[in-house]
Amino acid sequence: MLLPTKATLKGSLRRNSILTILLVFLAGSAILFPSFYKLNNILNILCQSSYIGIVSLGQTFVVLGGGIDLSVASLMSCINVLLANLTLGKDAAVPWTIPVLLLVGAGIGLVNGFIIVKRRVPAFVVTLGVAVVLNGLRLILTNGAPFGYIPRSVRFLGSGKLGIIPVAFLVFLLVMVVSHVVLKKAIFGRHLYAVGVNEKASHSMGIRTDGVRIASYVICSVMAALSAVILSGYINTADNWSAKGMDLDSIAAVVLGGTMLEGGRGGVIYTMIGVLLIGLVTNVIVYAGLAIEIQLIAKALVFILAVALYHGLARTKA
Amino acid sequence: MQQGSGVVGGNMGEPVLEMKNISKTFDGGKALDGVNFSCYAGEVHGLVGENGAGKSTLVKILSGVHQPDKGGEIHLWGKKCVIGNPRIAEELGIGMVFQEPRLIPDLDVAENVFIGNEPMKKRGSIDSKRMSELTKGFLRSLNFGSLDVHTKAARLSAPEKHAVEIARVLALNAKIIVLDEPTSSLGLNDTANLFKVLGGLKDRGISIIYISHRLDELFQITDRVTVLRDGRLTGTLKSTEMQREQLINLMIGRPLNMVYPEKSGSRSRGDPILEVTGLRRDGVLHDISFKAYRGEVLGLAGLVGAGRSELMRSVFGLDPVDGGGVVFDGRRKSRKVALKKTMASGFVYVSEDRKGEGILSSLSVKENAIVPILDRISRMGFVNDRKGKKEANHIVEDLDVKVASIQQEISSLSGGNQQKVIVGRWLKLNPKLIVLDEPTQGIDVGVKQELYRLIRRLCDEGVAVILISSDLPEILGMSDRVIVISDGRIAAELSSEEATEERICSYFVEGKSY
Repeated sequence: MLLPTKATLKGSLRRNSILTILLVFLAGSAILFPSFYKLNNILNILCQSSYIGIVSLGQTFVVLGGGIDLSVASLMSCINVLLANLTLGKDAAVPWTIPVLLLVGAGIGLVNGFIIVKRRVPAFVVTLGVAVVLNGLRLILTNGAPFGYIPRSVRFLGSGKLGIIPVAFLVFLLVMVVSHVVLKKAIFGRHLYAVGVNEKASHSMGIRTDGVRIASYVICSVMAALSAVILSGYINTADNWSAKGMDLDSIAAVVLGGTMLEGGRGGVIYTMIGVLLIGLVTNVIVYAGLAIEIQLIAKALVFILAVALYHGLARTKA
Repeated sequence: MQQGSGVVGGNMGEPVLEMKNISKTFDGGKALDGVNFSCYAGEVHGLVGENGAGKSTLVKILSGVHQPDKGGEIHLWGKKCVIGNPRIAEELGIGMVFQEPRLIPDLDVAENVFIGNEPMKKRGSIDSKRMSELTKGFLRSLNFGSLDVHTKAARLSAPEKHAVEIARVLALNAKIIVLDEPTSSLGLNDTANLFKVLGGLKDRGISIIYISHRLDELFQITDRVTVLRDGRLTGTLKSTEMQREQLINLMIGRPLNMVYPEKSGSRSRGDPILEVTGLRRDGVLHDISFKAYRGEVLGLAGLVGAGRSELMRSVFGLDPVDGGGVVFDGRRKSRKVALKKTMASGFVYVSEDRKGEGILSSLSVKENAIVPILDRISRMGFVNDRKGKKEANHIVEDLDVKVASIQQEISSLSGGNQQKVIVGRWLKLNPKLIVLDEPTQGIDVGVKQELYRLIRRLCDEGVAVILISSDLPEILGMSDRVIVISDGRIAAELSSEEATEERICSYFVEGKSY
């Protein structure tokens, strides 16, 4: 392992190029906005990164298996209004509500995975369709105006602190460690990479490829549901479009980190870098005091630029 | 086609095509080595050789898919040309008709004929009327005048598809047409019809390069025949003067440059481990019964597409089965059984498609080596990485895999070393029967011999080996028994003593439907 083989060298270059972008960005924002590095702001970024991070980790599982999930935002908004609706702001309801919501997530993941894998429909068609259905169901359920409140304990999860550390960030760290261990150490993780790289070869080696792929969608949706609980606590309100944009943010985080959309390459560490970059960009744009419309445009441009730059780097150096 | 007409193209003036000193080196080795090939106007020039002899590489160089190595030259009508890509080849008048027609099913006949080459009106829209007229003309000249040019390609019969493919290259104004095994999907009548078409093309001065495995056809239709073997030119014969035996000799009579380990003969042969009875897969396999014994190498010979791989894939469980039974290790093997269970019971299959079905290309050697044994080196669903490394290292040492580290990406290894990792990982399951499908394809000589020794070693240990190979010397050198498959049927079963290249080869050809 001491020898820098071609493969690991390529990998580290890939990682380094995105790290370079991250560092340039950090330095740039420090010069433009000196108060950027105040502890409070950093903690704020970590807190904001938490819910994006959890759903991006879920997305990582799907992408590693060679798929994509465009229904996470709709699912998250559903979970957000359901949470308020079911608990009506009462803490006593939280212990059973959260498991129920995670199960709802698992169910949606199962539907996605089953149609994609067993009926062989392209993932983006299925998940986009499911997203629209979920949006419709949510609007019927709420009649356009969500009711109920976010319980105190959920608010603690989303915006509370232990000492100076945001609780959301701790949840995020936990999910991150578990994901990493599952991907790197568990049989399931090894199978997921194998299926993402070459489904045919995996099948001929006796891996139950259908099961593995369906499981990746279930994991993704459960993580999206968990992320929605944290998000609810953070925004402290039930809103029909609370998670709008989370599809693209989660995919952007995965891709920015360097996980390949073709499947089989990447992992938790990669996605983490992507999540941090997204958190920073969002934060700096807010710091710059741009109007919300300009914020959207600026954010999208930075993403496209970063991905283009980094894919260019990966190609020339590798 | 009468042979007399061969004189027309015989030695009339300058050749329209000359390929001089063509070599082509791939990662796996030399596919072509200093081949010369020429073609006259109005000549039908047969191109033959075993699978892997270099026919398709030569044709791909002519059609711009591959570039020849330095030193090779292509002259068309006396002028030196560089055929950089297929588009240039088309512009130069070289037309390819593939074995499997590549028509677009949702487009009609005329649209397929003129795809990418549509006649335009002045305003820039497609002139469909002219397109239909021209297509009708081409089809008439091909004796397919009755075919409606507005039929969708999906609804055409095999010979009609071929006619459309040929019309397509005519529409491109091709002067040299390559036909790659055009009769493999045709019956007797359709073949006769095709020959009439070729006669018509010949009369128009079009040269035809005709690739075929059916030797009889060569005598019927060609003016000259060029034989390739192991990437080298072994002879160019005039069809009127050549003999059947001579042709076969040029095709297969290579110097025995490979040393095969000594066979164990009947010494090591034990009980049957696999019994297949009446196996059927509609349209592919017909009533196949055979046995494989412990401690023997059973060779499966036959042409590509004869059903060798299909047979073993169906027996193993990768492909469907429509009837018949399989008994493995004394127990009836259910058709529904999971592959994983089949493997665990000691039956493994190494695919011929190393890249598509063997390796996990962007993963490390270690990952590739341990996938089938993950649950054996895991506890509660979590892999013991130390054990994994140990197992992977064991494979690397045992089979002498040339690799800097087991963390190296497997795609950076040579084909031979990739193959060693693949075979090694199956040996980890302690198989009782191992099917090797074209295990030495694209592998250099050194590693080939290591694999041969390994096969023999396994055999001596009582493992049954089924070897599928298009390389006849390999089949002869390794097999204790040979089964020849032709058209999805068992054409012959030969003992090691009975099996000769000529004999096996004769079943390839004779077994075909005539």
